[in-house]
Amino acid sequence: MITAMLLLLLLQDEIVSETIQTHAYGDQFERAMALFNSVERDQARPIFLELIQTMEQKGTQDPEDREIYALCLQWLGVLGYPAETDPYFERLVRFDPEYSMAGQKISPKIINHFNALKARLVGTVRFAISEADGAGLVDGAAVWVDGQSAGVIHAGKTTLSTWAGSHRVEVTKPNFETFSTTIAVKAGEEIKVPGILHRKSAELQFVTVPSDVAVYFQNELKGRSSGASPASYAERLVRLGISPAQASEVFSIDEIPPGEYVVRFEKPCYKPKSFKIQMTKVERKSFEPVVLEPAAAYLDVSTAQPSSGIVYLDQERIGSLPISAHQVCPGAKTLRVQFTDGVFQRDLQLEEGKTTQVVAEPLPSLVWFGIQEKEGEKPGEDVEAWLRSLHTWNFRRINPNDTRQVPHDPFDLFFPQGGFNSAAAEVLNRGVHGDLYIAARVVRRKVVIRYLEVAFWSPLSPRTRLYAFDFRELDQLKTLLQNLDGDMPLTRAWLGLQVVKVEGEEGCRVVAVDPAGPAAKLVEEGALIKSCNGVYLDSPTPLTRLVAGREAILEIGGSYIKITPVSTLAELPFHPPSFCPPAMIARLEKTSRYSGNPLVRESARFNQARFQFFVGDFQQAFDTFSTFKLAQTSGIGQGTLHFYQALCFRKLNLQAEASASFKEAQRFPGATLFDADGPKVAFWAQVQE
Amino acid sequence: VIKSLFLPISLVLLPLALAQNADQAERLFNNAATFSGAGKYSEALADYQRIVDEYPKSPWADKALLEIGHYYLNVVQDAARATTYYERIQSQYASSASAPAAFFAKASILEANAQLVDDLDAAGADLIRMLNLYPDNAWTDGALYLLGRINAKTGDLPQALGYLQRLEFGYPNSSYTPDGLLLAAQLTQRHQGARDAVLLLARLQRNFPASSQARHSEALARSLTRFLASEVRYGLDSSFVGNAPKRYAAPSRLAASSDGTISILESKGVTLVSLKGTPPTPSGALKDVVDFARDRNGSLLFVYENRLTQLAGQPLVSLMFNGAQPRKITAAAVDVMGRIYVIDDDSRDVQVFDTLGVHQRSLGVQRPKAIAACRNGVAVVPGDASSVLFFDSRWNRVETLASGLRDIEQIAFDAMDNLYVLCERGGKVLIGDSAGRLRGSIALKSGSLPLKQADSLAVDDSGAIYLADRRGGSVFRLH
Repeated sequence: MITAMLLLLLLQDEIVSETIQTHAYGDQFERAMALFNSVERDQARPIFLELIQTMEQKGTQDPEDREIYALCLQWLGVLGYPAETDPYFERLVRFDPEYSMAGQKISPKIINHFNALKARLVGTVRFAISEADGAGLVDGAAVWVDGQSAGVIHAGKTTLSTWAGSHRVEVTKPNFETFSTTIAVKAGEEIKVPGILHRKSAELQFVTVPSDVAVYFQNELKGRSSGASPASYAERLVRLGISPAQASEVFSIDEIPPGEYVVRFEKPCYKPKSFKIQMTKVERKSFEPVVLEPAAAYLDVSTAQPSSGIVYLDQERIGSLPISAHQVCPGAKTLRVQFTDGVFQRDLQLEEGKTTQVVAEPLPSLVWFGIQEKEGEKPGEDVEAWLRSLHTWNFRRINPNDTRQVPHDPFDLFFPQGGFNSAAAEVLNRGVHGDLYIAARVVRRKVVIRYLEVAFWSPLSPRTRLYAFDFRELDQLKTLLQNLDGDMPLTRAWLGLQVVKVEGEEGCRVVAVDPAGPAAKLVEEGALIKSCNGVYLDSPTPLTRLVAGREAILEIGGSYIKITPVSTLAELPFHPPSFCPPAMIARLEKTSRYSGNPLVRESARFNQARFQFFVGDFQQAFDTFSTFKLAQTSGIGQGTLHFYQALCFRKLNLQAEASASFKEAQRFPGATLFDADGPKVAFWAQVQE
Repeated sequence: VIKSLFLPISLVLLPLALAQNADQAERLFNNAATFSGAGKYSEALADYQRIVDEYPKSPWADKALLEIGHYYLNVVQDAARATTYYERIQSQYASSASAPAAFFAKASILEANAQLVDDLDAAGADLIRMLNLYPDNAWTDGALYLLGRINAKTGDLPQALGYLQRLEFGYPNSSYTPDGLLLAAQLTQRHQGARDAVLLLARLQRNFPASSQARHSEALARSLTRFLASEVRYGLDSSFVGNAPKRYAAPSRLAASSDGTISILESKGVTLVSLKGTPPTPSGALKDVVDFARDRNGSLLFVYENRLTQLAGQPLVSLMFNGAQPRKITAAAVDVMGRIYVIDDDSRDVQVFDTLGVHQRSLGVQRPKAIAACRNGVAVVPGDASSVLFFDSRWNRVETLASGLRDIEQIAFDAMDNLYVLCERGGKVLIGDSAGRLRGSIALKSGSLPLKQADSLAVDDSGAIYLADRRGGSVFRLH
């Protein structure tokens, strides 16, 4: 690792030195030119000489360096005119036979001198290259003179100057055999080099509309089309009703042996296109312009309840709720809706031509302050990763020391010595705006035994819930956190009949049929149900596993009766060791506001109030129970609400009000507790009263 | 100078010493727990005792006392001594985590051993104190169940149901809840009727399908569903093994225990029949058995003229009446508190003994003919054989059932406290529900059954009736 860093430093040092050297050539040259243009022009000479010497030692491949090198020779020739000019000009012509002094602020006499010298040393070579079999003039072929790049053939022609003498020239082009010959150049004369390029392999050529299209040949990415289309395609493009400016320059796929191939074209937000081509001859094959059709998917985003929120797709704001028929590119996208009290986020796969409809519910925000490690090292398990992996929460990591957001030390607040400070917690919430706050600390017992204490608090309840986990049993914490994400069975399938297994009987006996349930008039009390959906009924359990809306077949007295269970409200189990109450209250609050299912919303509100009651927030529970009414005549209904309100009153030492509410509950004979098959509220209220 | 330095130094060293004490006590406690786990109770006890004696201010002292109490209760089975340790926690460590456990353990002992309603009231008061002092403690569910049982025993049904409802409501997953639902079903049958009771059993089976209580509830459901109809009806169980003529030698007495065993008293001794497998093997002088009874858990007891024994032959307790053993017991019963009632032919009355066999009182029933434990007390048929007298847990006569009854031979109750009366000299069986309402009758003389007259009657938990035909040598099962 250290070696690698040193190497990197050395390399970096080298790069910096090179950059400095390049700048030094330029600076040095500018200094020399400043002197050259002054009255002390002779003082420029040693600088030009030093530059030439240095550059010859190090080599001059960089075009800018080459230009400085040539100019140095030029100005040394000018400075030495006439006596010492020729050696410098000769070296200059050898360095670049094409060099011209035209247009420079140099005496015409000296330019003429240079041109005359050049004419004595250099000849002209005129190339005329065409394809074999009369296939036309070659375009874009490279010309090499003695292994050095010397130009490019345009429309079959190019002309270049070179030092008199014998030279090896080559013309190369992909898909063609190389043309090469030796020429004898005479100074001041022109030599013509005619040549023919013979095709050796096939090639494909096309332009794409639009540009920047990924081109795959046999599933291998060959590159992306780019630039603007050549004039040769203009007519064809116009014929297709496409402006040439929309198309790319010609894209070639070279060196294709004979065979059958698939070429595919892809660009985001466009429908992909592919062609199967047969290459039988060694030739150039040109496609018609490859035109990709735009592809579009559509997105609707709404909420079950009218709410305001800003909608983002892959971080780009696309509008405010509700969003209707928003056109987007198909493919995988991340939708995020920022509500005033939470965030909804979901990964979408948007399909071309289809409308994806999303009903957004904001996820409750989970604020994590991390682990305070005053009394020992943090646990080996990555608790934060467990929290981050929760899907039904919007995870936020807040720095507990960020006093702009966190006005009170969250660890002192959630692990209080002298009682929980509700007012301070409210101030904290105003700064952070979370639905659930979690902080943890390490507590050491003895030398080796350490506990992770985890505190949960929701602004909806004035209490913290503290859990302690031995470091050796942190799986329990993981389970507790996973349960924050678990399904909330807020509704239950209900048949409206209750059965009991009776000793000595085959099946289960019906002991109650609710007149408002789906089994009413289909099943009678006292009937013996032998099987349910073909499974022998040896206990009431299978009837509790039915799915609302899915038909069930009961075997009664040799007949088969079809009944479809309906969905009804259900009480969530209150079990703090497994389900953290502040977290459940926070989730239920969000569900009660934003769920798309009205029954689920109703049940969430009801259960939120129940949880508030069970954690001891009797006033808050009563207030929540009082914010809504339940219309159901059977199962969890208005009678159930009155029962819970009575319990709240009793806990608040309002005995007369409790008694009145219990009496009120007795007016609802169909109301139950737990679920629609639970005990009758009226009887319980009578006993409790 | 030394004096002036002593106090600050002491103040500095005191917390250190306390911490060291706590560490020592914790080490001892862990040792003791290891010993206890390995069955080395005396070593464990020694360590626990050292904590109590040497480190009484450590946070382990209350836990050690609790463990010692549990040791005396569960290993030595000395409830009285266990209670003294629980009381020490209540008085000396009232704010410790062990305090609610001590309250609960002590109340459990009181409830199990209560001889008088006052004992039950004391246990109940302790539990209510515990619930008030330590709200939401780990023993709340157990306390609610125990309060349900206590009030059921004292006969306060609404109060008992209230506690059992609080148990189910607040602790639906508690290990006490299945038992609570079973008890609630029994109480609801008396308070509300069979329909509401059977719904409780349905809930028990639905929510705790794998529990033993759910399996037991199937038998109770059998009894209850009979009472859902306007008239209770029975038919002969033709598959029952006792139907065959002359199968038994003059069967004169029957009993059905909660484990499904039917006991038949023959002239040659006792025969046991099981509906659920192999019957247990009885021991003792079985030829001298005069009748059967059931203990408070529903297990079979043999009644002799001077004693009651368990199935294996060991005496239940030694009964002492007027300084001597009774000499002419003809029948006996044991109530829910474990108190023993015997019909004594010498005194021609029902004599009541506590669980230790100490005589408590006479019930004042002239020439009693039959007796059976029921509800929270006992039912007795007086000498005129034309009524059933009900006594509550305080032995007050609370009810007399006389309408339409004559020549009563025997009475029995099923697990749901429904009443079965063999009357009219064995020619008729009357069936009443737990509220005392007549719900059905079986006229043996009508000829619909293979016996005209029964000599004894028994009822099992499912409400199946067993009738002994002495002359025919058969026992019939009606279900």
